[in-house]
This record gives sequence, C-alpha cells and structure tokens, in this order.
Amino acid sequence: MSILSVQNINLARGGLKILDNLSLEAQAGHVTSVIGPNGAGKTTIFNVISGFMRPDSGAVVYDGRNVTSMLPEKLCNMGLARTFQRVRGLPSLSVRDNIVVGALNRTSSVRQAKKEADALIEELDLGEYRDQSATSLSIGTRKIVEVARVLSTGPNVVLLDEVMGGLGPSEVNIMVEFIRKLPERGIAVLLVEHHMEAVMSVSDHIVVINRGRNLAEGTPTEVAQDPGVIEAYLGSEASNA
Amino acid sequence: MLDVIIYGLLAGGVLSLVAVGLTLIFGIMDITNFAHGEFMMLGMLGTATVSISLGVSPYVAVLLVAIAGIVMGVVIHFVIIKQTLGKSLYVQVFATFGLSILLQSIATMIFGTKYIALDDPLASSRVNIFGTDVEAAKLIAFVVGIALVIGIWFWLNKTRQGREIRAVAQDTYAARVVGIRPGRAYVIIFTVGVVFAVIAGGLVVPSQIANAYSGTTFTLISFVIVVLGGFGSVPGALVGGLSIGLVQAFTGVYIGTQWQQASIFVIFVLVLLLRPQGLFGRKSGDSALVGGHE
Amino acid sequence: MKNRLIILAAVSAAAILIALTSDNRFFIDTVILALIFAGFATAWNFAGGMTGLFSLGHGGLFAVGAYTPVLLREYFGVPTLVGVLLAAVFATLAALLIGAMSLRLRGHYFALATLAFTVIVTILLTNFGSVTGGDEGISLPFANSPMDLIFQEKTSYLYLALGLYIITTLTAIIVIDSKLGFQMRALREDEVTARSMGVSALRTKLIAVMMSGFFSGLAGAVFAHYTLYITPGNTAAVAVSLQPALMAIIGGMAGVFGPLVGAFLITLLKQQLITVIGADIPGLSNAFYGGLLLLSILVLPNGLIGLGKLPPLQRARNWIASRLPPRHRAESAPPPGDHDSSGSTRSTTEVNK
Repeated sequence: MSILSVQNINLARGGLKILDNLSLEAQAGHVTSVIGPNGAGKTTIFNVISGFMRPDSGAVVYDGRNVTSMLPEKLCNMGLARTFQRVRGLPSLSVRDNIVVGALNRTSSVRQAKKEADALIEELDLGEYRDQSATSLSIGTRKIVEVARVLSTGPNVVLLDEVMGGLGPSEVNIMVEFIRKLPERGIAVLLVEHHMEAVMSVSDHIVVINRGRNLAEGTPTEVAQDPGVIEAYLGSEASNA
Repeated sequence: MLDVIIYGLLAGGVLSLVAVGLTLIFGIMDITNFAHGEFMMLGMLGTATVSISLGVSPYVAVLLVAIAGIVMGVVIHFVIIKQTLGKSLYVQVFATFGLSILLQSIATMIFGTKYIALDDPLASSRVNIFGTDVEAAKLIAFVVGIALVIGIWFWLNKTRQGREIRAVAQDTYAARVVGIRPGRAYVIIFTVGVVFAVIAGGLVVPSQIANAYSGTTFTLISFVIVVLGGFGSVPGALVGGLSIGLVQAFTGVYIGTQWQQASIFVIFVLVLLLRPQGLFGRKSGDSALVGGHE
Repeated sequence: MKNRLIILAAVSAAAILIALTSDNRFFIDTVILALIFAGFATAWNFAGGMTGLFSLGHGGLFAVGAYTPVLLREYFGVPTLVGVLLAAVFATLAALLIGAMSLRLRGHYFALATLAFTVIVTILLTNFGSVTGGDEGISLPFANSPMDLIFQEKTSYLYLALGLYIITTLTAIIVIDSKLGFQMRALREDEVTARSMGVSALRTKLIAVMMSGFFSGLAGAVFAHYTLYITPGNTAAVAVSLQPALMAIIGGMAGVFGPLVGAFLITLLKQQLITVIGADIPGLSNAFYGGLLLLSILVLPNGLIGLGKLPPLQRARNWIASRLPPRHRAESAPPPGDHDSSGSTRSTTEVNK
C-alpha cells in the first residue's frame, strides 16, 4: 500500500489551470520521481502535498489519513517533510543548529536532539562544516545540508525538490548515492528533478506530468520508451535546453 | 454634513501631499522613514520664519524654503539614507528615528520650543465653497497639494524618466541590466519626498500654529495613509489622504476632537490585518511564500 | 548556560556592591533606571531578537504594566503586590494582540501595526482622563510603605530593579537553550523553512510575545513605583516604545546580555549628555543623542556584542575557506533568481492561507 497517495488534485491561480486532475503515489522504500517540462506543475504539486498551497479540489492521503491542506508544521510532525528548490535553510544558524531544529521535531530534549544531529552529521560526513553558518557553504554542501535538515525531522516521506540543481558532476554522483540509500531507512522518496541521468539511475518509479496533467508513468525503462513522453519532454525541453 | 465633507477633503489634500513622498520612498527605495514628518515641521517653521522676517507672503516664502529643501534632501540622502538602503528594517527604523530626533533638536535650537503663528491677509481671507465658509489658506493648500500629487503621478507614468524610476522599483536588477542607475532614481525620489513634505508644511502653516514637535503626528498620519493606499501607490496616497481627512473631520464633529487620532489608528490596524496590501496595492501570489517558481 | 549564569551572578554582585558602597544618588539613580530598562529590553528581546518579531508596540505593554497596579490600588484597593502580578498578566494578554498581528504581518507591516498599537494605548490613556489623569498622568504619594513598593531609600529600589532584571534574564537564559529557544530562532531565520521542519508558527510566536509581554508589564510596574509619576508620555509614547528595541540593537540582539549593555549605555548617555552639555541651549543634548544614535546604528548594525563576536568568527571562517579545495568554497554570486533577496528584510505581505 502507498504511504502517500495524491488523488485528482486541481488547482488554478488567476484563471490559469496549474494542476489538472493530477494523481500520484509514493511507496515506502521506493524512490518515485516526478518529471516534466518547465511549468508542468512539479513544484506546485510539492507545495500542495506539503501544505503550503491549498488545492481547489482533490485529496492528499498520507498513511491512510486525509491530510489535504493541513498546516506544513503539522504534516512535518506527522512525518512528511520537504526540501525547497531555492535552498532556504536557517541562514545564520550553524549547520548543526539547522539539524538540531529538525531533530526537535521528534523529541523535546535538546540534549537528545543534539546527539541525533551529531550522529547525522557524522553519517553524512559534514563534520568539517558543523559550526559554519548554512549560508557560508558551497551550493553542493548546502544541498546536502538541506537534505540532512529534512532527514533530521525523522520523516516517513521526503519530498526532494531539485536537490541536484546547480551541482557539479561529482557532486551529483554523491547526491545520487545518498538518495539511493534513503529507501533503506524505510523512507518513501518523492523526487522532482531536472537532471535526467540522475533520475533514471535513482528512480524505482517515474511519474511524467505535463501542463499539470498526468502524462505517463512506469519504471525508468518504460517511461524512456513512451512515445508521448518523448514528444512532450524532448519537444519542449530539448529546444529550450 | 456637506460642510464636514468639505473641511475633511480640504484637510486631506495636504495630507496626500505629505504621504505621497513617504509612499514613494517606501515603494521605490524600500525605506521606512520615521523622519518624514520632521521635514514637514521644518517646512512649517521655515516658511513662517522667512515670511515674518522678510515680510513676504508665505506663498513666496514657501518657494524659497522648498529650494532649501532640495539641498537638505540631497545631503540627507547621501549622508544617511544611502547607507541604509537594503539594510535590515531595524537599521532603517533607528537611523531615521535618530534623524528625526536630530532634526527636532536642531529645530528647537533654531526656532525654540514656542509655537509660531502666521498672519497673512490672503491666507486668512474667507472664501465660499458650495455655501461653506472656509479660510482661503485651506483652499490654497488643497489645490496646490492635489496639483502636485497629480503632477508626480503624471511624471512617473507619462515621462521617460518617471517610467525608468518605476522600473527600478519593480526590479532593481533588471533596471540595472537595461542601463538605468538605481542610485540616481533613489536620490531623486528621496528629494522629491522631502520637498513635498516641506511644501506641505509651508502650505498649512498660514492656518495652523507650529513648533519643533509638530512633525511627529504627521509622520504617524502619513504612515496610516501609506498603508491605507498601498505602499508605493500615488493614487493610493491621494485617496488615502482624502479619506483620512474625511475620517478626522467626521470623528471631530460627531464623536469629539480628542478621538480624531484614535479613529484613524483603529482604521489603520484593521486595514493592516484585513487587507495588508492596502486599498490599491496588488496582492502577491502564494508561490512567493514557498519560494518555488517553475 | 553555565557561562551565562556566571555573568548574571557577576552583574548582580556588581549591582549589590554599588547599593552597599555608593552614596552618589545620581549614580544610583542611573543604575536603577538602567536595570529597569535592561529588564524591559530583555523582555522585548524575547520577541524582537530571539523570534525576529520586530515590535514597536512594547510601549503599550509597558504602560499597561505601569498603570494597572496604580489604578487597581486607587480604585479597588487591590494590594500592590497583587496589582503588580495582575499588571504582568494584563500585559501578557495585551501582548496577544501583538501576537495576532505577527501571525498575519511581516517586516514593515508588522512594525507599523505594532506602532499603531502603542499610539492607540497612548490615546486611550490621554482621553480617559477622569480615570488615568490624562496628559498630566498620575503622581503616586511619596511615602515609606514597602508593601506598596514605595521606599524611602534609593537602594531598596536598586534591589527591586535588580530582582526584575534577574528573573527576566534567568527566564531568557533557560529559554534560549531550550527546544522553544531553537524554534524561536528557526522562525526568526526563515518562517517557511521553520514550518516545514515542524515548528508551529502560531504556538511559538504566541508564547514568545506572551513572555515578552509578561516581563514588559513587570518592568512597567517597577518603573511606575520608582518614578512615582506616570503619564502616557513616559510610559506609552512612541519614544518609549522604540526604547527597548533600540537598547537591544545597540547592545546586540543575538544573546542574552546585549539588552543589558544597551540599556546601560543609553541610560548613561542620556544622563551624561544632560549633565555635560546642560540645558542652557534647549535641544543641544538631544541633538547629540540623535546624532550618536544615527552614527552607532550605521556603524554598528549588529550591536556592541556583535562587534566583539563577529570579526574573529569571520576571520576563522575565511581561514577555513582558504584551506578548502575550490569547489567547497562558498559561492560569491547569489543563485539565479535570488537577486531580490539581498535587501534582507524586504517585506512580504503574502501570508498563510
């Protein structure tokens, strides 16, 4: 059974239909990617799932509960966490304090949270940046910290919004390795990503959307061979990129 | 009833003139200026003093004072305001608050703390508007105030230079790319704001006594008008100023003059809570909150 | 936490030492006022510095604290100590109004709305003159009645002010290292990120302003009983409202003791300016005050404590950066689409749905 099920979401802003009957599912222990050309509605569906935008209709069901339009903080308390495309973080706090805030999502003990933060820092090899402020880091490290921040909240589902944007090739490899390991923790990963090579190598399942609508879905190989996908995707993306 | 409306609108015209400067400084420079009312105070005291000591009409004196206001605006912009551009809100608040104390004290040193009143035959003559008898000074202030506000709107919307300045407000970065220097726009806007406040002071002083502490109230009222009309909106400042004039007049007549201030601040808080973008401002979309733009 | 407790103990010891040894009334007067305002500024900092809610409305809370025990005693015979407690409670409730504003408004908008709150309190105090004494305010009878917190000896007031400062600061010390403290900082840094990490904006902001209100109210009550004369002008006015924010900023908002440093500096500065420059030329001492204020905010936007802390940290950071391979170095160029965020506090109106 899917831990997260997004059902028939519709959302319009200023007369413009942004999401049109969009549905998708995420399974625990799987990486599900959402791909589509620019303006397809990828970040918007993340905003809807994570409670930052209210859809006009449709439902977000998490762990068997209807959580549509619940407050973001509430959703995070329940185990649904996200990153942001434009890395925000808590700019002037240290990397460690960023992670401590996340760890406090599950415990009231600051000591316990610090212990968990240190363990996570160790695990992600962020030790050398521990006491630096998040803004002083390179973009690659910032993206890793962004993911660490989200993991520290102890999520069952993580939404990763373009965590590879702006990374160099070697950094992408590190991130791919890292994302691959997430399902081992029993986490359902939902990924929005432009980096197609990375998406193909890391995903168990891919959902293709275009103009806010479901276009196709399946395994990476299935999707890559779908003529509709190739047309929509390459048609617009290849000419722009 | 009609007379109350006329009184209110006449008072509101000058308020629009003070507020339009503040709203432009807000909207284009993103600066919260707590010293704005002090410029009006300096305009009041300066005009009265020049008029009395040179024996000229206040309407001549105000022109001289306005020229001094240009110099003051440019100097203050380069020495103080420029340093606070893009800084945190509290730096702006306390830099301009410090400036406000400084200007108040300087005015105290020059003019003392006593009230100055001006007696001008033209200003104190009476005119009849739709059957209501009003001081000519109030009508002159209204007409000049409205004319200047409309003038600045025309300049910002219909001239090339004005449009360039508005471009800076919309997108500093893009404006720079197409070769518009924001720095020049800032000094122009700040100086225009200062000069308008100075002129507003000169226009009200024939019908209103003033001392070194007269500015504070106008700072607060201007903030109310700016919020009411929407940050950076010239038509907003115009309508906001007239509305505040009306509200004050009606409260003064029907509830009591001591509640004039309270009434506008209650409106202020309500507008902020219910429609923070102001009556004329545009609401921004919720995607900005999340920072995701596809 | 331990270091902060040691500093607090040292500050208390110094104040007690002054109370025991000094017989300079003028000096003791400065210390008392500085401690009261240090308490007030520390109270402000719960909202302003720790949570990023830049309130200009705390004059209103201070006034609620100042008038409550005085009016309750005069009209209902409520014992002063009970009145002082109620002062803090009423100020806490009034602070909820500021809290409500913080839920919907950001940046400029929030600052202006809170400023309007203080103006409204001033007007109410002025207009209900039959109860509050209007512009003239209320003079408290000068009598030696310790149960009414009115003392003959200045040193007694010094202990009272010190007590106020200690409980406010102890609370701040406990909060800053607690879960709540982390969540307050997270909200200050970035509300959207904080909420996405499970920090409840509603709960955290309301608790922050309530703590802030509670101690502001206490400070107002102590102030009333020390000056024995309260008016809308010396408790609620815009200038009073800006005072605690100014002190916290000049001292430094990041830690616990910045407000204390700022309160002492500003109180001393005001008193010394009047003493040194005198009142012969009206406005001159105020002109110096305004000028120094301007200068210090432009030169030291992070406050004095920020000055002590920042450069070495910066140097260490640069040193570390210089030893890293290039790809780890911080990028100097902001990411695309980010150029508008350089003015760090550009106001955002868009609010929670």
